[in-house]
Amino acid sequence: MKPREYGRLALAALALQGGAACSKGPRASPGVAASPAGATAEMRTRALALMEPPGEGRFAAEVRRGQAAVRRAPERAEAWIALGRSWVQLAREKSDPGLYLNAAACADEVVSREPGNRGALQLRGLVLLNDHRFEEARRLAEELLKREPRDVLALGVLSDALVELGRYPEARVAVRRMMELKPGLPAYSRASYLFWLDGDLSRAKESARLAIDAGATGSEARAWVIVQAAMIFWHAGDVEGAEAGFDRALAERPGFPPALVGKGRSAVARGDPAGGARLLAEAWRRAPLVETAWLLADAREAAGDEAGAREALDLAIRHGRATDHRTLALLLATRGLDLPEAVRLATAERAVRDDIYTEDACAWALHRSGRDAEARAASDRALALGTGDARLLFHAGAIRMALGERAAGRALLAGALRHGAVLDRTSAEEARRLLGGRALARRGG
Amino acid sequence: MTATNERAVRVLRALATFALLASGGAALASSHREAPAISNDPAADNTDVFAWVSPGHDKLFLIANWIPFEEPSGGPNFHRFSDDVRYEIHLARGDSLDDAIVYRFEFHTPHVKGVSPSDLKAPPGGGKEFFAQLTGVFGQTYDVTRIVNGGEQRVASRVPVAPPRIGPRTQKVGNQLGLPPYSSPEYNDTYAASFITATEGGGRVWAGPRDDPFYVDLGGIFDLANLRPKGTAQDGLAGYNVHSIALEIPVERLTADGQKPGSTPSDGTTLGVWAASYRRKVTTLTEDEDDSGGREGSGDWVQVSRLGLPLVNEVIIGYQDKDKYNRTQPKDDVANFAGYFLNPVLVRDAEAVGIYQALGVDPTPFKTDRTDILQVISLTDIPTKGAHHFPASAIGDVLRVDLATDSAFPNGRPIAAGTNHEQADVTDVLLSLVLSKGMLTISDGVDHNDKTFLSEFPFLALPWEGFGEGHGKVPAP
Repeated sequence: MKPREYGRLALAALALQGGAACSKGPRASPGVAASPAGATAEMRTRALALMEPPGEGRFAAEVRRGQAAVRRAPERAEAWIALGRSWVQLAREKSDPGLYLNAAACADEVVSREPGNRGALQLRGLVLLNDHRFEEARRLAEELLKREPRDVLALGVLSDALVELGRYPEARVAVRRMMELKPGLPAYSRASYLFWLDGDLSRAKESARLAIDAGATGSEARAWVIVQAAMIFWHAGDVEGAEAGFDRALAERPGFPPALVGKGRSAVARGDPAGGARLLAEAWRRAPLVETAWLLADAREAAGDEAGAREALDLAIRHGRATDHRTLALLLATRGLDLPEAVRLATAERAVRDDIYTEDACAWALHRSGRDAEARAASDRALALGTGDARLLFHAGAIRMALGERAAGRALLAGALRHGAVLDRTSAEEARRLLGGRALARRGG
Repeated sequence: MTATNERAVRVLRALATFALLASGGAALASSHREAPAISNDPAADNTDVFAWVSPGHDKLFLIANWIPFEEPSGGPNFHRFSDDVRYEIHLARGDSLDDAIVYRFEFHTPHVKGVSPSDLKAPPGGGKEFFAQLTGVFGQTYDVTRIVNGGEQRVASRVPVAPPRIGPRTQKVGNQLGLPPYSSPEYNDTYAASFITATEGGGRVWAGPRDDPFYVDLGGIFDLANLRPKGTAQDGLAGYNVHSIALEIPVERLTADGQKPGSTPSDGTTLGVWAASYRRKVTTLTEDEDDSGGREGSGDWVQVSRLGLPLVNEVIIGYQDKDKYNRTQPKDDVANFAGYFLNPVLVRDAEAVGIYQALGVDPTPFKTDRTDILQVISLTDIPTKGAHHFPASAIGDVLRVDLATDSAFPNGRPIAAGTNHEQADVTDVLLSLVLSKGMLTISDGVDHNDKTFLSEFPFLALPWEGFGEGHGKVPAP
């Protein structure tokens, strides 16, 4: 048989009819009319999934294509899952976590009909992580893995949840399993971060390099990992090297908010707080994160813009109340603004996650409130991995000084200041003051 | 609370949060690390495999492509083979789907002088090296290793890769300065052919960027087989480049007995061809934590992509199993994926969108028990009745090519040398096969490539040029 010897029938008819099928519009899915209340909820879920996506970028176009596909065949679970994934990609591309709600709606749509659908539950795992429901995300991922141990996406959700929950050895096992199944950007970037947390800079850099190599040029994922790699250099005090990384991420993805934050930090560290403030304001406009507003307040203060700094600080606090209690606790403690609230927020965060950064926030808030014994215990837990982060070292050093352990305290403070650019303005000044200020050139911002 | 109520509350909560969002500022802004969950790996991504015997049946041509959708003007980081990926072409022989011969390609980009990023004592500025646009990237070379029964033989070393076709000035200036890959002031066929290199034991090899030789209405097919007639269908790959490795191998190097295969097609004279790529794993466990008995060290290679027949992973394999497909072996395809071949999802999709209804055709016979698909890909009665009868254990996603007879898809997959199309329109063949057992001719409406293929090795056309042939548009004044 020759491959071309097939029966013939006009294709044009087929193509035209295929198009006509499209114009029938959305069909009701089974079960919609179960009850009036149910119908309303269903319709709202669906409206969220089918909402017009913002912008004209690649993933907005993908969302629109996905929406057309689910309108044509709403009973296909695969189409809803593909649409949900496009919403996740768009949320990342736009740095707009609100779009995870649209992804969640796609997952809900499928789960309401097929409670065990793997693709939909994977999506739900990503949504739970984004909603800081780490314990639920962990449990869901474990459930998925019980059914399919080779589910790479579930392993990613699991390792991320475990990192936030402070369960590092288990996170390392999850990443190892990812690596065996699919070495690529998701696995390499997670390995890199775990190495970095462990203070192993050399392997953190090597894994970051592999992650960059395994990413698509210009993709959000690769820009994200380039910034992560640059932050390794940043934390080691290599401002110039880090800035080269932020530049590269921006060259591949103009306006990428995490890279703008990095450029802003670098400008401040180089002694250009006004330039830094402009970059940070732009980063805030594109992706409002509490830490960005805090950095912006610092930069404006350093540039002599007191009113602008107050405004940024106010934004950071208001936004922190709504979205990010842990960073807000650190901010309140660092600036001595509302210490009881700082302690309350930081310790309450332990119910959500118990990683080294939550311990660090608790330590700092407790120390500022004069509870140094408790602060010391929390700080020890924050240092347990040997992470090379100047903020952790500064907090640990200040707590030890307060407890009269001057030699250990001074060593930690000096370590923190060696990479001074990493510290916020208030902390850097305080670290210098605690060390006596002598012989230390003015560094940091 | 009833499930319905709970659900309603959750949705309302979601909507309430959403209202907040719409009124300015993200309500869900996060302070945790959002490591990417989904990411493409283009440098390791197989796009196509071609294999065919020369008219005199004395040589086998193999072409494998990687890196889809290369934008010609995609500077400053022009696409190239990754130094961190192992690229391989696998050949199985006769009834077995085990490796008989493997050709492995490993790439090396020259190091620029400077600080190693892994040197902890390095002075500040080390990161700059890490992120620099490496100046020496276009001096990339590769080694070719031939592996037979686990025995490795290096058949070509430090072969130069053809550089990206950036533009006339790059070529001219590079040539004037005497930089290594720019041996010609013009990037033309003669220049590209200067990268053809002889391999030990006979044969030739070439590697570098080429025009993507595939042509298909991607927009139509992936819109639930929303096919368009010729004239309105769009070639989704037009104007893009890929990175290609081409091999020419004397047939005596491929047969079991080292002799010419004769002229009677048979299972024994047939090879199964597929390409694959691998990345190294990095272990996150200390020796104490590692309960694998040291088995799981760093540096082992893991298969991350493979391809034999065109469109199998795209059209046949389901969404949730694409990773699994990419990490498994052809010899396990029946065990792993038989359901996808026997009950093609594409048929149900086409039915769901009303294609069969429009044609007045009953899709029932195309939905299940599609042993005919397995028979076609294992060349049952192709090219002549009784020519091949591979056992079920030898069925897998490999491109079969019988060395003893002229190649014609699905027996081999030839480029029609000197024309602008393949010997067969493989997209149409596969769509017609899967959707209708070949009873209808179903076409994606795109029947030729956007460039003319060469009449000789390495066959694929010159890559599109960055300066003049990118996808950019002149902005309105």
